[in-house]
Amino acid sequence: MSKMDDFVIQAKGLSKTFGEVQALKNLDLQVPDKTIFAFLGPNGAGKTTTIKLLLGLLRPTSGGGAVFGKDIVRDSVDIRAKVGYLPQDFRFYEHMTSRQTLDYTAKFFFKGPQSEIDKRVNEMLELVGLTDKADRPIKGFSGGERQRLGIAQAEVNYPDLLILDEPAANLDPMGRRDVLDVMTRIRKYATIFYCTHILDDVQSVSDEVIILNKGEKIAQAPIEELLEGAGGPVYSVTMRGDVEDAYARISALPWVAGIQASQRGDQTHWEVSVTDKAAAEDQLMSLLVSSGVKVADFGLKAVELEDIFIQLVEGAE
Amino acid sequence: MSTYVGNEVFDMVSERGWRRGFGNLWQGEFSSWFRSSRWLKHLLLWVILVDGFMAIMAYATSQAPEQEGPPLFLMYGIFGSMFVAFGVMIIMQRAIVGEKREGTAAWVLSKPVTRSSFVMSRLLGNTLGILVTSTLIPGLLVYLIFGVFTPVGWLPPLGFLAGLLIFCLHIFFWLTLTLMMGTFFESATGVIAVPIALYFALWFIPSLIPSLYKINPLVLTFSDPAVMPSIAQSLMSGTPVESWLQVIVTVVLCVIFIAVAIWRFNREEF
Repeated sequence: MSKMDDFVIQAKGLSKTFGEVQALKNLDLQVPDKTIFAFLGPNGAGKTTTIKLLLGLLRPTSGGGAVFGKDIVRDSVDIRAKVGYLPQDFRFYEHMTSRQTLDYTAKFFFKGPQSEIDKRVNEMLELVGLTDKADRPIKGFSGGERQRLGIAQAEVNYPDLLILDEPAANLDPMGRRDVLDVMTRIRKYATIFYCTHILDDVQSVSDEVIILNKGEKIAQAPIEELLEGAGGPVYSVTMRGDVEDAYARISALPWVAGIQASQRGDQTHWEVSVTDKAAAEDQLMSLLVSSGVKVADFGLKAVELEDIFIQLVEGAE
Repeated sequence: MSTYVGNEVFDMVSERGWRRGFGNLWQGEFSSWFRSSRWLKHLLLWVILVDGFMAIMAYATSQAPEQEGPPLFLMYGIFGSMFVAFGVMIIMQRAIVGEKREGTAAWVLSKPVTRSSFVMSRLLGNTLGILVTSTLIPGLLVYLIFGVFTPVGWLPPLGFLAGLLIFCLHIFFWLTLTLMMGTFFESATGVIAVPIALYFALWFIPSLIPSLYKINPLVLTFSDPAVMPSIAQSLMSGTPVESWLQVIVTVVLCVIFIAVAIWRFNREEF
């Protein structure tokens, strides 16, 4: 298998224009096999457009792409045979029950035997917790139940690539947790490409992230790289006492990029940005103590994806 | 890239080319007509409308046989084709546009199916459902009404059946036209407006330009007997058909409508 074959999705200069609006501009994209790949961006960034282009539901204005090495325009039916897709605004046939919907979906992939299709349908109903509602018409379903059914129908063919457009939308916290569990379980079998606005989820399960803004890619990196690249490590320190001496000594150190100070009652709070994490781990705490301050709290500040996302999107504007 | 463990127990769908997904789509469409009460509701509606009116006409004819009223064949031509044609337009306006607007078309087309098989499944499923419930079964009841209650009597069965097939062709013309319009418009109003306008144009224009009479699909099922009998009436009553040109023109138009619908739907974006 060549290096290029390791990418499930590849796009080069992929663009889409609707009338005067350029929804997607020259997107270059490579999604490695068996990864959970998060696709982020504010509303109208071009995420859903990209997904629809990959599935052949839209035609590119220019550029192109391939999924499993197959062309997204010419071979879209073959591509869809290996993909499970949960659309953002998901609509079923309302007269069908969830069991009928899954049976109908499964039969786009499998001719039979019916007993095995029934087993798969039952497995999917159980996976998303809809077994007790399997024979009720969908028209009575809540938003969360529809979303669960959407996930089940996307997974019913055990796809090699699962594309989920806002999978946790409409779900309560338990439902969200279940979706993340499903994604984590599937990751060893399939590649998952998903859009979401819930950045906590992205940080907890994703391997790689791409961020779009106004139809343009503004970042793509493995999640750790993205988090590390957000201006370097920051140490959070809360202390009491006279901090002037400590401030003078620490701010003069070559590996200290800056100190942001604030006062909370009798406590002083610093956020110390450093360029050398190892040096900071070795020396920062002892320097503070030797300067005579009483340290109440000390630790490496966790970098949140949300901060990076906002920083990147606002930076691009 | 390995496929999930677990799919090897299945027989995979093997359709290729434009037929990809057709089997399941057709099954779904067939089920929506015949594995629910939909067919029965439609059948009741058309039996009441078509056979109910024909029964009233038959009763009126038997009560006053000396009075010259509109010929029974002409009345059947009107009830059995004009009413049904408008019914078809109403049913079919949703076949494509309804699914586009509700988002179910986008969902189905995200599966391994071709646009052509989507259009063909909607066409064939609705054709079967509509023709069985609105034309074939009510038509057979009309045969009984003619035979038992009217002076028309028992018509030659094969000729009557051939006439019923002409009624089916007439309905198929409106069905394919409305389906095609559904691929061009986003609203049901647009879809239904064109067939209705065309219906009235076909009704009135041939009276201004008589040469159009011989290629007018409306004349397949009813016509002014003073000008020429309809093909359906000729076949049902066992009289020779003057010209098959209307049949040929209608078949060609249906084929064109289907081809255009598939061409247009293949260019649709979801």
